[in-house]
Amino acid sequence: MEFEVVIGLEVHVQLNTKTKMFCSCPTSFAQRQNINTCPTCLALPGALPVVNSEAVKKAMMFGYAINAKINERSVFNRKNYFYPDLPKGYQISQFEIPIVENGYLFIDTQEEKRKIGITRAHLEEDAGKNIHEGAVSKVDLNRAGTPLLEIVSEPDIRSSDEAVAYLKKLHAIVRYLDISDANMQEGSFRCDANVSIRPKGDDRLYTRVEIKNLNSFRFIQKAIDYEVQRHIEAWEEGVYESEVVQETRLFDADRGVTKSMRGKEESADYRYFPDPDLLPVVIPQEFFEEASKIPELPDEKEERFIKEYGIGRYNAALIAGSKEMADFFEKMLSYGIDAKNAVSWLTVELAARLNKSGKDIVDSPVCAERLAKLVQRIEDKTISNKAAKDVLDYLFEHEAEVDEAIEKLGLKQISDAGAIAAIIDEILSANEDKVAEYKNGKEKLFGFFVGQVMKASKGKADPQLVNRLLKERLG
Amino acid sequence: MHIDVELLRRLENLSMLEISPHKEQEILTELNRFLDFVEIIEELDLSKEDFRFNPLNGGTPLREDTPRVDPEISREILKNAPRSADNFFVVPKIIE
Repeated sequence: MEFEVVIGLEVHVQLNTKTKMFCSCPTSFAQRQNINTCPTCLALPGALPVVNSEAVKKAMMFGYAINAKINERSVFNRKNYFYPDLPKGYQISQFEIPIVENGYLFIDTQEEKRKIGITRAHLEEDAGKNIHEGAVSKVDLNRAGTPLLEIVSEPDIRSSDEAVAYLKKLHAIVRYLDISDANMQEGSFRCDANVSIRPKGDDRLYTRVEIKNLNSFRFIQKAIDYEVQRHIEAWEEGVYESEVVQETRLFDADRGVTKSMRGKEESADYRYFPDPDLLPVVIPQEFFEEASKIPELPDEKEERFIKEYGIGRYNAALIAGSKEMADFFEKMLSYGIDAKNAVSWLTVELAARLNKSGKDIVDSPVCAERLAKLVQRIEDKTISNKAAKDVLDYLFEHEAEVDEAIEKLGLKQISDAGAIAAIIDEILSANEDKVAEYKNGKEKLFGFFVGQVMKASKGKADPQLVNRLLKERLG
Repeated sequence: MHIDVELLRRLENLSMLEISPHKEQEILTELNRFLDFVEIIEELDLSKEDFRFNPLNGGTPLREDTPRVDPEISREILKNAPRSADNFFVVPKIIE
């Protein structure tokens, strides 16, 4: 039987406000445990929550970015559960009326752009952190109360590839809006996946399993693939009913498997009710004007790159897919270099070196200005394309200006026709037999002469000039 | 609504509280009396009301995003915690 995969994703994005969702404690890096706390986020009796206006605006910006409905009036609820990292015994979240609902975004698949619905995005607060040690658990509440935007997709996603494409697009949008650092390793962009299967052609939704603890794109893909395979095998072996139950499973990255968290299920009764400490959020009119002014988003940028610079869709999508990469690219272009050269030096040469050293574009040892300068030096024929790669290698390891590096490595291209002609004459007279063969029709030898000249010039001769002068001499 | 022994067990589980067997009957009676009292509110006809109704006009106050921290507060609170170490609150182990 052929199956269809049905995936819905829940993403928790930590908003990059300066203070917590309901109190003025800083959200910035803390010098010590529990220092960024106060009676409100520690749930002392009588302390009352007050909503952070910036978190509201950031949530609204996200709403505009995904063409969603922004509810002028939304409600905070209490979601009740007991855990030491949640001092109040409930999390303040939104339930019936989230601040943002009914949006969508587009993902690129092999064949087409696909629309993925976003059911809702609501504001809530993060929990603290527990460290388990021997017979005790230690609790740090610095993170407790940090604003989160929980973004819930429709079950529109049909494969693990699409899930990753959706998350990457969402990640890019959040970064473009600058509403979150969206750092997966540090947990400011976290994902849970709801996965089920159904026979192809069947519209019903079957039992879904929630997978938690997915903190990299690679793990998300592996976890979903594993889970889908588990469902299909259970179906084919006739044990679907007993093996696939509605539950939460944890992904074990070391073993590449998902494991049941049975036992927690019984307590998943959150008894939501409107928080009596908070009136409904009524968004002031001026917030709508302010939040609607969102920057250019990845899809628009991709289209503009194609139209304005004439670069291909693949590269346009690759560059626009990351705000940091797009910023780097546009900075390079501001130095007046050719867009196609900028694309290849950024996405091929620099990217390969970053990849090899495990660095991200933001930590690139070579900044946009230097890379642009390097391209400029190729364009004005100071160095050859090949020499530029050596210069880039050097710049990757050393703090130096481009011209300095060219000088130091002695890679300045010889563009002086007289100097090149002298080298050519030398090579030709040393290889008279080959010259004769060439003139007798062995044209393949032309490459040999070019190679010899380049070698004699230590790779510094301008190859185009070498070609032209050689042709002149060999007739 | 009526709370029976089964529901009480479930509530114990959800709230992580344990009620000793000899107290069970007394607590059940009390909880049911609370519910009976609150049920008076059922007499109101709210069928025409929007569930978002709130007796107070306007929205919740909004606050500027300006940080403020007083390290003394957390020090004081940690000092009063039943158990703490290295600026952490310390609780009985919560995972197996």
